[in-house]
Amino acid sequence: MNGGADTAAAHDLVACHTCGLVSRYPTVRSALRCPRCRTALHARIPRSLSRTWAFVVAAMLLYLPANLLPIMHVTSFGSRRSDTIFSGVEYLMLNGMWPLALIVFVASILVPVLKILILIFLLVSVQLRSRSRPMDRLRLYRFTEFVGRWSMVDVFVVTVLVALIDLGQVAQVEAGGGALLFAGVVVLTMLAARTFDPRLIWDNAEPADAESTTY
Amino acid sequence: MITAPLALGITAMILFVLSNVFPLLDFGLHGRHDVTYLLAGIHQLFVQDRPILAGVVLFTTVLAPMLHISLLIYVFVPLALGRRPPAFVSALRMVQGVLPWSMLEIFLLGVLVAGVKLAENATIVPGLAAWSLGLLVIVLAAAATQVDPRRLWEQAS
Amino acid sequence: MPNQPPTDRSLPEALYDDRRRVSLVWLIPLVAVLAAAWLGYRAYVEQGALVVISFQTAEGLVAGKTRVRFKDVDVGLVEAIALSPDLSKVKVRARLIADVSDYLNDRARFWVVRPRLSGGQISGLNTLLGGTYIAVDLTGDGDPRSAFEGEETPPAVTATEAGRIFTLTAESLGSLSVGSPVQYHGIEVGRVIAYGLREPHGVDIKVFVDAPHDAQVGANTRFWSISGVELSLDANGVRINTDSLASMLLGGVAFGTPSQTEVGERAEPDTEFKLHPSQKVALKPRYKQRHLWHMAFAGSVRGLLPGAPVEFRGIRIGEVKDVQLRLNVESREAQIPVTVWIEPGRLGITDQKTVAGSAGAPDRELWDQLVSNGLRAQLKTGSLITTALYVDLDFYPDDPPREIAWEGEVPELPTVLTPLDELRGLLTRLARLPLDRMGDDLGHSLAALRETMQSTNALLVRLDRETVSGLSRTLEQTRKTLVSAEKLLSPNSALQTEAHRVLQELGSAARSFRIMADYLERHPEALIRGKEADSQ
Repeated sequence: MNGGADTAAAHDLVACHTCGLVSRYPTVRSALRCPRCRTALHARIPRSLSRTWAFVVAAMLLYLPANLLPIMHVTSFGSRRSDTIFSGVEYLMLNGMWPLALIVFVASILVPVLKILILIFLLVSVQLRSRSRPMDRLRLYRFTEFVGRWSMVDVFVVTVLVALIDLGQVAQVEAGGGALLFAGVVVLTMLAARTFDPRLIWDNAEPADAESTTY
Repeated sequence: MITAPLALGITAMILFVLSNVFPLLDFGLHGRHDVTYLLAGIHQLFVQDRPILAGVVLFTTVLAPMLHISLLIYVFVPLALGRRPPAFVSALRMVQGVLPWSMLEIFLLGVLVAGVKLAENATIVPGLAAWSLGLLVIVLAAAATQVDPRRLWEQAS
Repeated sequence: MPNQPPTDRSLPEALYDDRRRVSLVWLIPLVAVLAAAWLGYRAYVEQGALVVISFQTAEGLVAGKTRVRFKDVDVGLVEAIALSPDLSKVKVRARLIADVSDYLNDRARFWVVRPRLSGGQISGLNTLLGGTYIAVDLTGDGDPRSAFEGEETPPAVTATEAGRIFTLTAESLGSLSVGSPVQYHGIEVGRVIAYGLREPHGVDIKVFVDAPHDAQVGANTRFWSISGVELSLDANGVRINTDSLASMLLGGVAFGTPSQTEVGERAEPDTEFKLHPSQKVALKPRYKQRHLWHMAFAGSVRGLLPGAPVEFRGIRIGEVKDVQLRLNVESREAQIPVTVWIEPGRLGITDQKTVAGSAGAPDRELWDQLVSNGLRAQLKTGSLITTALYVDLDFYPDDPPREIAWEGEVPELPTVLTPLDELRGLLTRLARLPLDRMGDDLGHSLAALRETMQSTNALLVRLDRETVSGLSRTLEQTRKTLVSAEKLLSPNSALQTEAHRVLQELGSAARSFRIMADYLERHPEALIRGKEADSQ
């Protein structure tokens, strides 16, 4: 791989990302499997950067329509009103439910954007061979991984509303196209985070930096 | 520890069943009362011609958690009895794979948001499933702290 | 490299204990199991009975959503809807709560509550918002059942409504329909719930009166229709009477008792009452007795309708029963005997002595006395707007003595002509006067008088020649006077001509008046409208 930090590979060791077992490299270094859990072994996730980029770009492409298309339609006495994620937040705010508005805003609007931006940042930082603050970048990554799933909140809200409001003429709720796109964005960012190998952050770090870091 | 995760796993299973069988929310408007169930929402999405969305919700709120809990019990029962679970490694791999996709706590938040949104116009009463779901989330979190993946892997080898 | 702490032999050795203990953590699943079991048990036990209701249509019913309600309380849920095997009915399977299981008997009734327009009433609008539901009416005491025939319309009276049902009989239904209000003193206290034909003719109308107002329906209660606008055109003139808007649109029924009469003994359910056409008719005080009388009127009886009042000096004492023509072919005389009811009670003639066999016969002595005092019947015009006549009884002391004709089934009261008839008679007589001849006679008389005066004049001339001048002067004056008188009385004198003319005019005036009287008699409205422009 790259020089610089002291890597497991340099010591002929490879760690399994599934079960954590550190095993020794045999003579070949490809098509290897973990002796304990049989998952494919890679020093680094193969094609991590390109795959992560693919997912991130796809997520970005879906993000705009996901916010523009309505996530649900409410039909009441023949008149149909469509709500996007944004208008949902607006509605909550206008009705004085600002804590909820905040939650939905953070979860559904802020988090995906943040996630995408962080991933882009991480990708770019790795590709530019940046050496600054790897720990912080790792923390950013962990944060992204953790927080990503919460964006699904809006999709679940729509599900509950669709189930609950079946009142004939008075009100009917249908899920809109935005809901699926939004779920797609969440899934894609989750996959993007999965394919990104955080160890790449250290691949360019100086040996000095490597030693000062503790896992 | 072995017994704790098992106990919690069994509890989680019971709570999961309760969450699906009993109503989630009671919605009262103009004298009529409607209840909804977790599965009913997914069914409605299917009916409304959104099968992919329905599938995603089904997976994240029913299938993934069910798999997770079942595997938990599946692994820990033999362990508690001092035996090695068959296909231990595969089981562990499956659990690790499915875990990120179990989104019950997020679903609970969704229920909360939906309930508060509706409470403005109607009388919303949390149903039994809402409470059991809350407990389930807590139990699963507790189980997670009690499980040491490293030791499990060591035992698996 | 980690340092190893020195082994301090003074410290106690740890105990080896590999006994298995049941961890407290098992409490959690235990609690969970117990809770789940209890919930499951409770859900099972609270489940009530399953019933199957068949309806004509499942419109508005949704399996799993439609509720069953009793007195607006949720008592069940529709589980499934299916068609009957022969596709004739819809079978709705519903699960009811345990609390009502005991009341599922053959007296229970199920119906669907939907927006409905019936009997002029809109009901069930709440279902537009709240969703259609199945309503049930439950009472105790019945044979248990689990399959029911649903009703297509809500029952008119539910078992829990307190009150009584009465039957009203009428000639026709009029503007009443199911749901038409029943009023008491203007307050709605009940409604029409059903109607049907009655043998051999007429209709039966079933009304329901709520408790506690049903206690106001007693032996002396009268029911009348308050439908629409009551317009009466009779001898009393024109009258318009309306009731509430609801009754105007839907028709309605009201009940009450005549003034100063008590309600009487409370009426049993299903008692029959007659439905009178109006309040006036219903609350007419009914005296116990009334007698039939005949009256033969000479003139025209046009405008005399059955039901027209018979009055005595303005007080109503009876009514006309009918008017018939009796033509005597041989004598070519037409008589129109009018049959009337007279209620002696109204004349203040209270209960007759009950003579055996004639419990309802008029008191001959009394009536003979009245007639000999001049009691006669006459037709009078009630109002100039309507052409209605009425019968008026009054005393006519100048009328030649007459008697009641007691023979025959019905006694006959003597009558007098109507004022119009009288006038006509007078005018006819006047027209028949030989006014021309009277004029001639007068002329002859006057001629004779002139002769007399001429002789007297000659006598006076002779007297004048032979008498003293004084006397002749007096005589001269007398002569002048007579000459003037002669002038006045000559056949062509102004006075005679004048008198002749006056008499002629009187004659023609009488004739025209008679013509007018005739015309008026035939067209009394001409008094208002004037004569029609045609040849008369």
